Amino acid sequence: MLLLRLLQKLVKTLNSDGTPGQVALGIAMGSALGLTPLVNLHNLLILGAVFLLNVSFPAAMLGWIAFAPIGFLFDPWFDAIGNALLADATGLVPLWTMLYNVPVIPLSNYNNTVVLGSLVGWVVLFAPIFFVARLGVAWYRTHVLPRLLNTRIFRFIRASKLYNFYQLFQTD
Amino acid sequence: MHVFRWKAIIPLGLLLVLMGAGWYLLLDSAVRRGIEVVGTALVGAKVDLEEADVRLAEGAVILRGLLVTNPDAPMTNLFQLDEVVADLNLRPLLQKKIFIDTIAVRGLRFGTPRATSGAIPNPDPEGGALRRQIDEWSRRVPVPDFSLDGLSGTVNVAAIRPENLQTPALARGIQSAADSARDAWMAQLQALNPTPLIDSARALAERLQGASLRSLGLGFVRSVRSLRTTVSGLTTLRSGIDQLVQDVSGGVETLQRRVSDLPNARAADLASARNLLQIPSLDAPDISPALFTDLALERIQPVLYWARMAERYVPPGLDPRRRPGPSRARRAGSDVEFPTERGYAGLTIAFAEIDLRLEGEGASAGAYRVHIEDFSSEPSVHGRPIRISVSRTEAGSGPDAVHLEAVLDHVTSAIRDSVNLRITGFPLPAVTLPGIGAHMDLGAGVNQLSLVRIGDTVAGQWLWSSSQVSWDRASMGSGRVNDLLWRTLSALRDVQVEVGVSGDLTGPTLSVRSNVASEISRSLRRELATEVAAAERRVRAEVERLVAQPIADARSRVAEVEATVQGLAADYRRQLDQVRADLEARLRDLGRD
Repeated sequence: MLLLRLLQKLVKTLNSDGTPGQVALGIAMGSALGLTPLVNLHNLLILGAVFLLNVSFPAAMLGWIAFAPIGFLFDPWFDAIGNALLADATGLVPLWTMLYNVPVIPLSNYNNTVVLGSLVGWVVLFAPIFFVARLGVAWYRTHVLPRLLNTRIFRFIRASKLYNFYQLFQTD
Repeated sequence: MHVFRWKAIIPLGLLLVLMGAGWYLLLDSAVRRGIEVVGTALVGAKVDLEEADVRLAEGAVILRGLLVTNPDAPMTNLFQLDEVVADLNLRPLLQKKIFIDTIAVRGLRFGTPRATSGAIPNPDPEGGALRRQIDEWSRRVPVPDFSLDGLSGTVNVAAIRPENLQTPALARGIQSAADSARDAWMAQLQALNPTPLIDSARALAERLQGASLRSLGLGFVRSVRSLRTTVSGLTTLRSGIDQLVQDVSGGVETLQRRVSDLPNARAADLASARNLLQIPSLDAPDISPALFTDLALERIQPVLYWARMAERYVPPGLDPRRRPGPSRARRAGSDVEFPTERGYAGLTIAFAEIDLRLEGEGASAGAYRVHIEDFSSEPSVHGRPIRISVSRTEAGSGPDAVHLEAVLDHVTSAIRDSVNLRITGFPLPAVTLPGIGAHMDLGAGVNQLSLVRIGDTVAGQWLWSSSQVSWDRASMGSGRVNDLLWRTLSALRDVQVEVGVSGDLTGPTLSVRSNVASEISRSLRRELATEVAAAERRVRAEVERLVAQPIADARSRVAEVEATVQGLAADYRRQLDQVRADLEARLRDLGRD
C-alpha cells in the first residue's frame, strides 16, 4: 500500500506537483542515497534536508531508486577516487588527520575509500543531475504529458475501474 | 514559496527517534557481530561470541561466552572466556575509537574442544606467508649429523669416490679456465704480432745507417718523416702489448686466487668424507647442534613468529595505515587510518586484570594473574609501551612458579620488545637424541626464556635445566660404542640445554649448547680417541690421494700459462724496445746534420 501511494505521489509529482526545480532538486538530493553506501552519517543529513527543505520527497525517492544501480556500477571508480584522495594525495594527509581526530566526523566513515569517492562523485554530479532533471521534467510536462493524456490507452485507463481505484488513494 | 517545510520537523524528529531506538536495540547484536568479524580476521579462525551487553549509561560492555578457535587446530579453542567486563571511556566513542579504562576477565580456559570446526576458507594470508618464511629459515639452519656407526666396523675408504669430491672438479675447472685464457691471450698476441713492423723498422734503420743530409739530398725530409712514423707505430704497438700484459697479470691473479681456495675445498671434502663414513667429531660444540637443533627449532619458531606478528598487530609509527573496509553489499573499499599523537588510538586498554584458574591435577593446574597495562593498537598515539606480566598465585601441587614480564615498546619506529619468562617445576621437553637413539626425558625443571628485539635484530636465550632427567635406551643399538654411550648418558642426572638466537629477525643465527654433548665428547675421547684418530688418518690419506694430484696440476697449469704468455710478451717488448732505440739514434744522428 505504501509503495502504491509512493508511486501515485511520484506520478502526481511528475505531472503537476511542485515546480520542475523542486522535483529536480529532490532527484539530485535523493541520488546521494543511491550513489553512496546507504548506512552512513551523510545520508542521514541528506534525508533530514529532504524532509526540511521544500523539495519534492517522492522525487528524492525516485532519485534514490534510479541511482542505486549506478552506485553499484561506479563502485570501482569511487574506490579509485577515494584511494587517490586518502592514500595518494599526501598534501591532504594533514586535513584527513585533523578530521580523523575530531569528534563525530570519524563516524561518517569518510576515511573509507568507497564512501569518500562516492560522496565526491555525488557532489560533482549534483549540478548536472539537477539541471538535466529540471529540463527533463519541464520537457515532460510540456511535450509528453499532453500527448499521453490524449492517448487511447490513457483515456481507457482514466475511464476504467482501475483509475477509480487509483482515485481512492488520492489524498486531496 | 517557503524554503523550509516547518511542518516536517515533527515527522523528522519522530523518524530520528525511531532510528535511535532501532540503533539502541540493535547495538548489542552489532557489537557482538563486530567482535566476531574483527576477531576472526585477526586470529585467522572463527571467533564466536554468545552475547554482548552494551550499557552506555554505565559506560560498560559485558561480553559472555567468547570462543576463540585455535587456527592450527580448528576443533579446539585457543581459549574461551566466560565473561569479560570492560569499563568504557565514552568520549573517544565519538571519534569511533575504543578506550577501555579497566577490563576484568572471568573463566578463562585454554584448549577446550569445539562442537564445530572453527576453520575459515582463506585464513590470514599474511600470517601464512610469515609462517612459510620462518619454515624456510628453519630448513636453512644446518643440522649436523651425529653417527657412531663408522666406529663400529671397518672404515671403507673405497666409498670415497673422486666424483663426489669437490676439489678435483674445482681443480679441473681451474685448468680448463687457464687453457681458455691462454688461448685467448695468445690470439690477442698474434693479432698484435710486431714481427713485420720490427723487420721493416730494422730495414729502415740499416738503410739510414751512416746517412746524412748531404747523402740523402732531397730524400732527407721523407726519410725523417718515415723514421718518425715508424717510431710512433712501434710505441703504439708497445702500448698494446703493455695493456695485454696487464690483462694477463689480472687474469693470472684470479686463477691463482682460485688455486689458493683449493685447500678450503679439500677441508670440506675431508669433512664430507668423514660424514660419509660416519666418523664422528668428538668436539662438544659439534655434538650439541647435532643432538638438539631440531628441538631448538621446534621451540624457537613460534617465538620468532609472534615476535614478528606483534609488529603487525601493534604497528609502530604514525604513518597512515590501511585496513580492509567493512563487509557490505556495496564494495568494501579500504579504511585508511590517520593516527596522530594528539588523538586516541583505535583500541586502548589502559589496564586489564585477568584472574584465571587452570583446573585438573597437572603441573600447570592452579591460579594465575595476568596484568596488562597500556595496551594500544597504535602505541605511537598512546605514547606508552605495552606491559604484560603473568604470575602464578596458587599452584595446584608442588612449589611451582610462573613469572612472565613482557614489554612491547612500539612507541617509536625503532621497536624495542623484551620478554623474560621463568617457569619452574613444569614438565620440560622429552627428546630422542638423533644419531644415538636414546630417549631423554628432562622431567620437571627450570624453563627460562629471555628475548630482546631492537629494531630488526633479535637476541635471546632459552635454557632448559633439570636435575631429574630420566633415560631410556629406546632405539639405541648394542655394541661397545653404544654401551659406552649408554653408561655415560644414564649416569647423567643434571642436564642443561641452552639455545641462543641472534641476528636479523628474518634469519637469525642459532646456537645450541648442552652438557650432554660435553659428557659424550669426554667419554668418547677417553675410550675411543685412538680408533677415531686411526679412522681419521685413513680418511685423510684417501682424500689426500684423490685431491693432491688435481691440485698440483691446477697449480702448475696456471704457472705454465703465465710463463708462456708473459715470456712471449716479454720477448716482443724487448725486440720492440731495441729497434725503437736504433731508430731514435738514427733520428738523433740526422738531427745533428
